[in-house]
Amino acid sequence: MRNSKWIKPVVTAVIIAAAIAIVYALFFGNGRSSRETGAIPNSELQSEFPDHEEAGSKLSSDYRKVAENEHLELYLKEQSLSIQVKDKRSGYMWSSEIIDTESNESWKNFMASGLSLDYFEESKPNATRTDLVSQANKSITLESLEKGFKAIIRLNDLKLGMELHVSLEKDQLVVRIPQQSILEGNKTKLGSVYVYPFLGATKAGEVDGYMFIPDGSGALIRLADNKGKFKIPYEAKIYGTNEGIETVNRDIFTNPPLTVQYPVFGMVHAEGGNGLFGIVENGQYNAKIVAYPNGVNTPYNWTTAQFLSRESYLQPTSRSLGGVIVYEKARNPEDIQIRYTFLSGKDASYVGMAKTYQSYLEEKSILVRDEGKADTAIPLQMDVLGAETENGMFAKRLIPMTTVSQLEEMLGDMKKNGIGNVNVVYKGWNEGGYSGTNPSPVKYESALGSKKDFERLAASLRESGNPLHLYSDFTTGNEASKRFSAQTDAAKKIDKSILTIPTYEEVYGTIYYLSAEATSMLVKQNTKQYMSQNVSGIAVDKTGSVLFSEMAGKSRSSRSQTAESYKAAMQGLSDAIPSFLMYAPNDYMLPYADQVLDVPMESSQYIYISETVPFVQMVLKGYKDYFAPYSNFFANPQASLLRMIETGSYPSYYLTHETSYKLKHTNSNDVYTSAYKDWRDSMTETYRILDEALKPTIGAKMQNHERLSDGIVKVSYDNGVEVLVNYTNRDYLWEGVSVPPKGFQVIEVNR
Amino acid sequence: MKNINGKVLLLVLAVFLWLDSSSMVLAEAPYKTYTEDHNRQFVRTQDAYHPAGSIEKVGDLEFSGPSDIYIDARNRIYVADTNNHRIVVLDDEGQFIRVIGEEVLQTPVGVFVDHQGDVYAADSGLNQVVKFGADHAVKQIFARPESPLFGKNNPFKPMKVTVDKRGNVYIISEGSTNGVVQMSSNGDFLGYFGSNESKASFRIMLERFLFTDAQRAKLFKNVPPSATSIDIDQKGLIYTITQGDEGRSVKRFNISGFNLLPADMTFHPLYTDLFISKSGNIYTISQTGIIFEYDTEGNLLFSFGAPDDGKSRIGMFINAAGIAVDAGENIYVVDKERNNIQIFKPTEFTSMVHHALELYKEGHYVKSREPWSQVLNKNNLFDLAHKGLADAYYKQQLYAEAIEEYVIANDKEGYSNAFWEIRNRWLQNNLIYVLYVGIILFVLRILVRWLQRKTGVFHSVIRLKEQVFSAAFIRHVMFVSRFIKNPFEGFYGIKEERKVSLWSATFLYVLFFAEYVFALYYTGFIFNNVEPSSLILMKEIAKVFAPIALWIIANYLVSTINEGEGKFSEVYKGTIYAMAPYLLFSPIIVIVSNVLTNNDAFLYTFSSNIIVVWCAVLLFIMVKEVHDYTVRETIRNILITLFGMLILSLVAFIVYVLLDQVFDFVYSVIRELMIRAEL
Repeated sequence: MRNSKWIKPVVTAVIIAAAIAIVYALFFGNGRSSRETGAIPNSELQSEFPDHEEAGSKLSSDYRKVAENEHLELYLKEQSLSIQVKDKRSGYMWSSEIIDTESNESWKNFMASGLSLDYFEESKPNATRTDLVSQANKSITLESLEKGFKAIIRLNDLKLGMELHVSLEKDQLVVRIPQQSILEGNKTKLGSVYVYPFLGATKAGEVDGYMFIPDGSGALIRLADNKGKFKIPYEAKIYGTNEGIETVNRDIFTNPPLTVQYPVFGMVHAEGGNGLFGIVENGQYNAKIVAYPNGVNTPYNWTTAQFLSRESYLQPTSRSLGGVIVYEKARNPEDIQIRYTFLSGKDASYVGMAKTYQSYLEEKSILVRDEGKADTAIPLQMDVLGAETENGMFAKRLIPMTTVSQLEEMLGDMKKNGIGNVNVVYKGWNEGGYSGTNPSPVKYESALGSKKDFERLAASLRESGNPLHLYSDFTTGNEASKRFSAQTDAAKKIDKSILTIPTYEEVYGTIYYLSAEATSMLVKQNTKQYMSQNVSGIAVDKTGSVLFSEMAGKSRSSRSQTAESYKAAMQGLSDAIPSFLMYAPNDYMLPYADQVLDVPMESSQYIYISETVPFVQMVLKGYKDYFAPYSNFFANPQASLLRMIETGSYPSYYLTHETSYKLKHTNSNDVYTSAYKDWRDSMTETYRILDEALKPTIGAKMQNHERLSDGIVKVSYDNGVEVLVNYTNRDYLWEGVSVPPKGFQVIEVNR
Repeated sequence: MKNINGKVLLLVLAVFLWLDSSSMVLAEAPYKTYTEDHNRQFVRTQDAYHPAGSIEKVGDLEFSGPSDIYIDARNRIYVADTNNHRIVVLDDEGQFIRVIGEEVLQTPVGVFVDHQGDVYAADSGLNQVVKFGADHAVKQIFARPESPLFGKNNPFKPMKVTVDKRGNVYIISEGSTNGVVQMSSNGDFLGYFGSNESKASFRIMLERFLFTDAQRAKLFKNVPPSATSIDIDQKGLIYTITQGDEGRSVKRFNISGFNLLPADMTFHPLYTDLFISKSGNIYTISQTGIIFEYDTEGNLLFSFGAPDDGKSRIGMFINAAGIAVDAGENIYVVDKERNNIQIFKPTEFTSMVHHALELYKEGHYVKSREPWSQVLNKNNLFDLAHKGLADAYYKQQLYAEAIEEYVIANDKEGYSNAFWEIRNRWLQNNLIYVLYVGIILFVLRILVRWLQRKTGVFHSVIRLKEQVFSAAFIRHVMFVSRFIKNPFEGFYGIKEERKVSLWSATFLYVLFFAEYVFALYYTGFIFNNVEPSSLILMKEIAKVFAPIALWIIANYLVSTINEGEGKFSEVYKGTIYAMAPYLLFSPIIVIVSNVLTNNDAFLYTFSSNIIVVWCAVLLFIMVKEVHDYTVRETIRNILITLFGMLILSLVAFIVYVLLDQVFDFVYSVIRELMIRAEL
């Protein structure tokens, strides 16, 4: 075998063949999946979208009444599908159309159209906006429904079609686009849809009033003439950024804006006059709440929901940041539906909106009235950090921060100081401590106490009325956990990369999100273990507030699917566990959470926000106990205390027995103060004051919330209690009642 | 009917109530606030300042590209409204007072008000600094100095201006590398003041060393950066701020132009302005909107503010240009791009910190103890508070408590002083017992020897000892002490007499590492700069053994082509035995370092240095003996070895980079193929 020259060409040939095979396999393998679901054969398209049709001519350009009930009248202008709604109680006419001569063509048409949309074209990364007026070659077929109408829309040039259903229900108007009715050609794909975006729009400062946006606890944008002060509109995805598609910029200097947790928006034309309140009933998982103050593009104030069917994203092609921008292949599978409630008189305000939403949730049995126990003290939420880990030379080093016996000591001391009603959440109770262990084993960390110790603690707490809550998080995963493998359990982004989140911390640098399937599995396993260990309280973080879409196998799972799977999991867990707490849950989690933690009292500080209002608190009060964010980290403890009184929020603390200096080199290094001895006095005092202010309101619903003057707020409850809060440095006299500076006053009105 | 049964409650929660904020100041700040620890690392803290609104317009006037702001003693706000060619004056509530210099100014980019109320505008369009008197008319003009000292070709383009009590004017001229232009009150050029230094990087030094004159002339001129802004404090000290001068960006000059601030301050690369508040705290702003507040010593108190995230939230900036602070410690920042002024109010927490700092700065250490511990209650990671508290304890002679706090604040000097006191006290009380113990031990030794001689009761012990020491491995290890007494003999022993084995050498390598780790953990606080939680085993192993391995390999390879006699195993063994001084004495030094103070620090540094030099000498002898070289050959060999080590690591690096590139390429191709296939 001396002559081995023949080897070279053979090897080369084999390599080339292999390469071709791989490439071919890739093309072929993915070629099948690229044939999209829901695409329509050409012949059908032909019949749905005829090339030429004498469109538009037979559509009338005048408003005609199409439906009426005891509260409302509905008028329709066929040509643009724009509507007018007359509120019979006040005679006030709401219109979805603004006739404007000054704006440019595209905005003019947008304002005149009942329906506008964005579409993607092949190999164009950015969506193009169009509307019914701009599209001349279209057909609209109208059918009347019982209390409204149905319009079948065909845009022939774009080969896009859908149905729009509009109907009256009591004092409400329901607007719907069924998902099945959407037709798309092969070239153009639907990006997003606006329905009646200009319903209730006003020009500059012509109408007094405000727009309501669900930012944080709720915020108002006054309808004053801004004279072009604002350049950027409010646009926020309901339930926050979808990290399955978008990359969140997490720089160390910026706090991300608060997320929209309730799919609502509203508009008030003169407080006490007329109002419009929109609830996004369907499609909220892929929608944005949009509010344009005047001066942003147009001189009009308008607010609506934008429904996203597809989003564009960066598909990376190299390990560095290079890539191409493409749009999603599959369309989001949800129907689109907004329910507008027309408010008038006293209800035409954010208070009226909160009440409307409250009764809406009650009707859907998402909220259940809780009268509360009379003569109990208010609850105090105490998160206790058990153990954390820092890097060590040979292995991670466990730092016990609060052992079981130390916690018992703390609770005893608190009781002595008059704090008896404590909700205890034990963080980092599990083997390995708080950070880096998720999904954590259902096993007590032995450095904190034996199983017996934990059981003794749980039993004594249960006896006192509030069980011990074990902290858990079914959303994040760590590679250090034995129950997690990034390859099989982590969620994948739309670009098929694994969804990772940098922590910028020194011990555990990356966390993952579990796929919805892994979460369900985990919850099931854990539920069994909790039951067998007789756990009677659980506090769930992240799973109630984080929502993302993912690639499950080869198909895309939308956020609505993730939410459904989370809901099922939480349902099972809350059925099994007597006391179930949730941190900052989105609205769809409300049925499961017994108490709600970490409810924001603030808004995100957008420059156009003129006032923050406690909308969320007004909805929850009297139905669910809710707690403020941790009091440890307030920079203005006094003002924050007043804010808790104003919003009826119960206090919460994040405490440890050891000094928090020990956490400096752990992932919890943002906990810069937590030692019980540092907080003992201040907590006792805060609790005493809050108990005094809020005890009379236990179980009551908030009836009204009004600003008497700058820095003076009056909150009325339905049991006759009124709470006056004075943020100013001066005494405030109100109808013979004096409110001390930086203080409050509780008044009971006899009826 | 209303029945009032609520109680009036005075809130006693917060001790500091002098915040005069009538309007509601309560907001979740859109930015994160940090302070710094002793390593100048950012540490989270409560929000220090909250955005409290903005001034978008003054009456009917709008700003256009405002680039500087100043607040005078009467709390009036002066804005250099650059593109509108004027200075706008407002009161502390943002109400319009007047406009200055509308007809005169062209491009006012800097504004200053002296103690008499005269307004100075630095105009980069007119190339003048214009002074306006009490009647708001032009009082004086400072134009380009005629003096030859100014420099014939130096441009004069005033950007910022400040004035001292004597009326001397300090002007920052754009691109002036000589420093700040100093003029007398009547416009005479006095000279340049406080210039920055140019950086002499290693590359520049190398270029200077190697290049010919002609080549050097072609090089980009290495000029020092020119200052960006300037201010003056109550005592008349001048401060400048410079973009891109790293830790020395902020300078406080004494009269002779010497920088009094530390050279390692936390910095931002895009500084645009600074302001010195009445209390002497230094406030800086960067273009991206990061605001720093330093105390008078240059320690960072707070970092906050953030670049605009495209969502229009308050407290964020697009192009922040100027900063000023009023008497109520409210911060005002002008944004060139947003054309507004944003206002930040100190929070209750910040008032607390300022209060403690004030007491501390004035030397009321004991009085500052209470405020500092309150700050610590609110933030355990506030190192400045730990230091303040420690100083207070020290003053109160609570040395043990002081030491605890000094350790947290990593204040070596304070620790040393407190420790000295404790050590002194201990010595006073216990010195006599130490002597007793010494005497007893000495007597015991004599006794034991005497007993052994007389009766031989310790025979078995001695035999055991001899047995242990005669074991080959132990003998090989113990041979290390020979290198202290007679290194030549030692290396001869390695080479010719097989006095050591590979096993013993390996054991010593492990011991070496163990001692290294021991030193990391147990060196006395004053001499220890290691954060235990930052130690990772693999990293430390690499740190210790990578250079040693490189040395051994390079030395062996170099020697084989250089007629060296040494075998690989001999280099391996010789190297660690050459470390004998470290192996034998390092633990002792580490232990002793725990009872030393700064006064006797030289003991530690001196002995540490001796060990290093000693090891180096032994290594030299090792190379010489093992390879049987002359001195000249040895030197040559060592130099080549060092060079070889450099080349080896370079090759490793290049291979790594290349492989990475190849991987990247293959990955990109596959990725692209997959995506194209899908689209």
